[in-house]
Amino acid sequence: MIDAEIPHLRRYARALVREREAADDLVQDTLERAWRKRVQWRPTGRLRSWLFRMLYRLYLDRRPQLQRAHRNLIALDDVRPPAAADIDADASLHCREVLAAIDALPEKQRAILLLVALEQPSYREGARALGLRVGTFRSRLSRAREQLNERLVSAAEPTPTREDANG
Amino acid sequence: MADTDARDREYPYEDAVSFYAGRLASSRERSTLAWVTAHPDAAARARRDAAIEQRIARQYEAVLDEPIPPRLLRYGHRRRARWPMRMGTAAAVAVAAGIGWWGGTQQMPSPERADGFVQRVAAAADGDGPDGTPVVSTAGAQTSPGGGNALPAPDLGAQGYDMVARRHVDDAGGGRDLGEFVYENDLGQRVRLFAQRREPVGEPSPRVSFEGGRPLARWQANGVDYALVGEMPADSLRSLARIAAAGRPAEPAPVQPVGRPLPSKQGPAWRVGDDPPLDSMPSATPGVTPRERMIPAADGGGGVQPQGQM
Repeated sequence: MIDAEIPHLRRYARALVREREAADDLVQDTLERAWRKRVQWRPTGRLRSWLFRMLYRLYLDRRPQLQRAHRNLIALDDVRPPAAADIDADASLHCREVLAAIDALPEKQRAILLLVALEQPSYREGARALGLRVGTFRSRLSRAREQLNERLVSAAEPTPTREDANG
Repeated sequence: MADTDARDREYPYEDAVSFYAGRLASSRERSTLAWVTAHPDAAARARRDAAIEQRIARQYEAVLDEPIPPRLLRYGHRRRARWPMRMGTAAAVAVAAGIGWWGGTQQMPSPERADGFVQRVAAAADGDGPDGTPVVSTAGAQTSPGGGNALPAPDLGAQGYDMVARRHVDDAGGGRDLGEFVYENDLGQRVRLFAQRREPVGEPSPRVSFEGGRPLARWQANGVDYALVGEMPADSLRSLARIAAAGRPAEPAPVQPVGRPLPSKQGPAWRVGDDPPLDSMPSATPGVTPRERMIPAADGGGGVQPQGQM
């Protein structure tokens, strides 16, 4: 049963950590912790939410060292380069720009945005996966979206040139 | 319906995002469509947010199809050592080595030398008995030295060493039978453990001495003298001996095909053709045939014993 959730855990960990080995380390620790605490799982909730909550907690615990490594990984990301099809003609959204904007968000906002984007959970499931109340989950998601949009807009604005500055 | 209306009023924006992402439940599409029509600015933002989500999802969707690394499927088993465990192991070895060094600086017990155990082990490790006679038993040898009184062997699996062979070394005048257990790790490195019964003298802690220019760790447990010999630094051998002295008995080793020589990293080569009549040898373990194991004979002959206790 747990095995079926591993690909989803890996995907979320990869999005959070952005480096394959470090992400798999995080998943491995999550699985080992889950196995040790398996008697605590209640079948009333989704197993995936329970596992994601453990992964998220472990991620937050290791955030300082992961962030140090992560700062060096943005330009060398372990993701495929954006192809022409990845460019949204309507919103001018470029994959790498989006990722860079997400990277600039506070960690908890990053985590919630990535979770929603990757797993499309209901509010209740999402809140359970991150160990939050539903209201907190919703408001944090709203703030995260807002900040991400602001960053994308500011990134899309042309940098003022010297001629612009001189009028 | 009343609940749905309340939820729509509470979360209209997220429903709009879901609507543009194509994952909104059909039962809520109509109300959401009405909301985005009435709020074009918010609808544009929701459309953009949905596009961002789709970008992210597309970016990582390939991960779902990647083969799962085997290490992620071993969560129900003993955890593989990674750097925190390796650090812990290194610290434990360092502590053990320190304690062992302290122990090694103490006076060596004389009774072991007096009854010739160390000399017999050193000679057996060299391949010859104290008087130059071969040490390997042949047909008719007892698998349990002392007439069926089995010698327990420690489990070194946690240290990466599995028992790959054992044998009975013929008594060459010491008055007691000597058993030998051979362990090997994944790198093919071997250690040899010798055991002999004797009266307890209350010296369970391993001590290292140098016999014939190589380290030899010895201790006593439950009325059995043990000596560990291996091609490794004295500190490492001492640490391994301390773990062996504190450990539990070994599990029976896996069965090897008959006639398949174990790779020898030290000591003489195997000579399968010289095997004694295996089926005539008794087995100390019920259900385990004597053909399960062979070990290289120190003199080039083929000593053969079943795995497990001796």
